[in-house]
Amino acid sequence: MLDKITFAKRYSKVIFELLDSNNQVEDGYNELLQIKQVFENNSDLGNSLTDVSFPEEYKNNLAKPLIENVDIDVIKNLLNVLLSTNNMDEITMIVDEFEQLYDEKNKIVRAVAITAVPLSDEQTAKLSDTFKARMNAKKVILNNKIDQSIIGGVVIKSSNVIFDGSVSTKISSIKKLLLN
Amino acid sequence: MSIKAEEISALIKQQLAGYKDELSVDETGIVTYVGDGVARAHGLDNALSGELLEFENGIFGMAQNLESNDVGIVVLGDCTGIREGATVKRTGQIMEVPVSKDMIGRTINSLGQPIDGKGDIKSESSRPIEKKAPGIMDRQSVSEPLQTGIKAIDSLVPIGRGQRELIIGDRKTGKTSVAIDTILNQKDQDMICIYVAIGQKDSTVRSQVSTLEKYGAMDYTIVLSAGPSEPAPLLYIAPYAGAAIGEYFMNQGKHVLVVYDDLTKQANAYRELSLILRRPPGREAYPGDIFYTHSRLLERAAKLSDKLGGGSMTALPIVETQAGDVSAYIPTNVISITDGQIFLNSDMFYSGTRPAIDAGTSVSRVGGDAQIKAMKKVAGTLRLDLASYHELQAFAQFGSDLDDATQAKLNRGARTEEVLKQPLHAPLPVEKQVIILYCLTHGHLDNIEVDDIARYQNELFEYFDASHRDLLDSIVETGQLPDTDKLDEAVNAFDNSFQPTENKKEKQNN
Repeated sequence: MLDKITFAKRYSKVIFELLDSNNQVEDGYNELLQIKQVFENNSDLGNSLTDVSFPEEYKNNLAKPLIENVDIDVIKNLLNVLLSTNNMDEITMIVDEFEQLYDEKNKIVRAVAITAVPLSDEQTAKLSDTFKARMNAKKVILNNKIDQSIIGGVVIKSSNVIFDGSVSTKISSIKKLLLN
Repeated sequence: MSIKAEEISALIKQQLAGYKDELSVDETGIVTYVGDGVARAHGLDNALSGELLEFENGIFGMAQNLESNDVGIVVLGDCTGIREGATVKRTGQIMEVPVSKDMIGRTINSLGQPIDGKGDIKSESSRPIEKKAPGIMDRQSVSEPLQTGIKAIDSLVPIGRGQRELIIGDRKTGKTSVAIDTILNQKDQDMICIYVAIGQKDSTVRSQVSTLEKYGAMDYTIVLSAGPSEPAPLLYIAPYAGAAIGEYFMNQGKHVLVVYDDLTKQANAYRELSLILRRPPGREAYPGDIFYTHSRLLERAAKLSDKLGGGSMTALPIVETQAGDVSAYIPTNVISITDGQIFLNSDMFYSGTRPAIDAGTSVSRVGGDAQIKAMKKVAGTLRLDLASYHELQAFAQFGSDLDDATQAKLNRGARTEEVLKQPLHAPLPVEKQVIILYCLTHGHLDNIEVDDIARYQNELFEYFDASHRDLLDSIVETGQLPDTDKLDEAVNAFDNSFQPTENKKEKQNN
């Protein structure tokens, strides 16, 4: 069996390309986010729609309102395929991967900014502007998290990269320098 | 003694001068699996093969498998502190070991850290553990001898500096002893020895180190040990780390001897890793690149050209066989990579021929050029003599009457075998080996009882030390056999004074 990530990557890529060719990327994106919301609010939904011991017709009935509410054919088909192949629980991961493709296309960067004290709105705006310039992005979605253990400064985590400007890291590098 | 506060702050200021306040930017990944000395991580899209990675808790790993979604990492250390979801950082460096002159006399692990409790080792620099071997133009052919001090090896399978000679045999046939004796004989030879113990029991390594200490060999020896309780990755990298340290000295124009004890266990550790990393298993479940694992390691042994300082690194890999089966996978691989092999036979070992070197199957492909002239002269016919003796011995067992010539050959053969026996940790200098082999090939031993030969040999050496030091010295200095008239005269004089042991005549017919 394919591992989950490969599976999700493959499906999200197909969906993205189909939506792109129909010029429905924006609508599809919002639709998918809503579907993800449904699955996240009902954490057992994905599992029960994949469970083989759960009779087929119940599953269809359960998923029916969800599928019928979707306006876009491509996404409707996706849900039908996932339902019939018992892969419904992968939908959140597929949406996550879709989000990444969407971000990549629209040059959106999502990042978590870890600070010791909460950032003011002004600081957040300044930080995201600087970060936007650095990452060469059109838009930066910055999420502020508080972690006292970094003492001061800021750590920005974005997909696979960490920009570490925290006081605790600086102290430990000074420590290394002094001990050598 | 008191230090002023200002002095301390001045010192600290000096040390901090190198500090640069800059943002650290690291590429990271998330651990998705950890276990059996191996971790997998998502992310790390730009990681390189063999790159060093750092886990959150400061443990290092080496990127091994780069796949479409994740990276397979071997963990170099304790993996109990690493959890799923932890981050891994790229370091941008490849795996290196510290190297230093101060390592001589010390016992270290695969990462170059001391494990003998004698304090820190100050490193002079560090070298990548995987390095491409010297190329064609960087080498020259093997020309200087490496004296092992073992008669059977120096006469029949001579080893040259820069050669790779395999020591192969079943368990408990004295493979390690041959290697240790060789190290003992390098005293005052301007050699640096590196003994790499891979998967050897810690108690065994301990006793080898005490042996080396007892004979004063730790003055020029580095012991690198990766014990069986270490994770498999450390066993896998141990020989490469040893080779990296050896190369450091070789590039300074020094002569280095590296013993890999043993490559079978390294292959097993690598097989374990590869299976856990889900690489396809091949013959005997070893991964496809097991040949390359050993060939790139042994290729690093070299005799450098004079332009590069003329240093050398001799490799003595050890491989264990099961029930004498040299056609198993690892033994055939390593036999084909090396420049010859010393085959140790368990039957000979238990029948008392020690070291149990099987002259028929042991060869040295390049060492002949490095043998000193005198040794070449006295040992030239030895291999043939032994072969025909073993052949005749089989016939003679039928017990029929033998003609004189056959009887003489059998006598000579029995004495040859006896002369090639040697006790443990008693390496002999080459000039003495030449003298006793000269006596053998010139028939001086034919009238000595087989049981007396060991005593004859010892007394002969004492006699030469006392009365004919000049002859011994001339062998060492010129490498040639001294004037045969003088030598014959000296040996004849000793023969006349030698007292055979009494009451042995009757026993002869047994």
